[in-house]
Amino acid sequence: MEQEQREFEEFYAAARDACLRVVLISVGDQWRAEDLVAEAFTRAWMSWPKVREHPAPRAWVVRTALNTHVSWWRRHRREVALGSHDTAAAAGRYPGLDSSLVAALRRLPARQREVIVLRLVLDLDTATTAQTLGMPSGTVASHLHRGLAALRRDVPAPDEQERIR
Amino acid sequence: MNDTALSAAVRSHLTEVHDSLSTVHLDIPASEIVARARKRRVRRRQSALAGAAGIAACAALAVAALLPGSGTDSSTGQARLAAWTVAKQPDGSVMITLHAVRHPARLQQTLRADGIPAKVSVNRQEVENSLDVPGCHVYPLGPPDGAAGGTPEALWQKVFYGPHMNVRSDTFWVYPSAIPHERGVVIVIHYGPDKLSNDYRNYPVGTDLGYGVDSYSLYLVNATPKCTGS
Repeated sequence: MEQEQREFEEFYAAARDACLRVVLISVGDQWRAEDLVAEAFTRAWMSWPKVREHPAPRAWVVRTALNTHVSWWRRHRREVALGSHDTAAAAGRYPGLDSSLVAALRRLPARQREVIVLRLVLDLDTATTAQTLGMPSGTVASHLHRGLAALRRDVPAPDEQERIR
Repeated sequence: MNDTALSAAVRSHLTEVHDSLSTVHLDIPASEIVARARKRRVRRRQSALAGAAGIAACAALAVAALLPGSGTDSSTGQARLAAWTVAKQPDGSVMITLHAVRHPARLQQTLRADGIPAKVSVNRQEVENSLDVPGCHVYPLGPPDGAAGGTPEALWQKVFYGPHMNVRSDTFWVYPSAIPHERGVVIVIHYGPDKLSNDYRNYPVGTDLGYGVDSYSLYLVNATPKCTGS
């Protein structure tokens, strides 16, 4: 048990900031992101024998945090679409969080957002993403394609963004 | 721009944003996370014991229901199981309190017996699109004017909460008089992906444990025999 706890603490020390930043990009509110990530790590420790064997334990934590976020919103807002009012404070401090692309990412359906975060931010391959999300690889590819298509619709092309900046 | 180029551009932008957050740190010590998990385990064990007691009580109730002159008391307009309570109110509404994901079919039957065109569905949270309720056309909570086939928020409030504000998270109402013509209600009870084992089935709805039932969603739907029974 002590050995396991040491392992977990090492994992936590190495992964906590990176996981927090990824979740912060996805939810926009720093305090909520901290709560979600702390909760996800709590669950990770409770399921440590399973999580330590996972091909991407950080992805497990991020995914659990994002799922908890969906659950929180369901409980409190009951299907009201994810709003932007809770993102203002963090966006003020971290201007990157306010970019049109990040805002569009937050508007994506949860599955598409998760796939984009795992594939493009955590840089997981399709197979590991599929395993983390419990879906076939083909579904990952299809969510990625649809998510990118939605971002393309919502956000000006990067070269236009460059001009805007 | 094709998917490969677009995904490279998106990756590069998100990486830039990620890197710009280098001053963001999670300051919670590992010992606090471990302590939190320990408390959670204790609560889980306590709830599992309480759940076992609930099952015993439920079994006793089921036996009692088979005996003449006992069981669910329709004279008080109450149907009560360990998993949920349905209580008719003097103003014609029905108050529903969800305790656990059990006996959804009986909950549906009880609501229909009270004249509410209703469907009760249970949904693993992994199945993201809870709007996909087989046999039903769901009107999601939509913009205030109800455009694009949605349910205006004011109507949703009127049907499921009436005048009630700041209520317990495990309780809602159905006001049959507020349900529009040819519409019914769908209640989707969600439980998370970690709750597949029997250990987790008895957690109460609305608790903030993150185990057992996580939440529920309430929708208006087209009332049809296949969806809402009438």
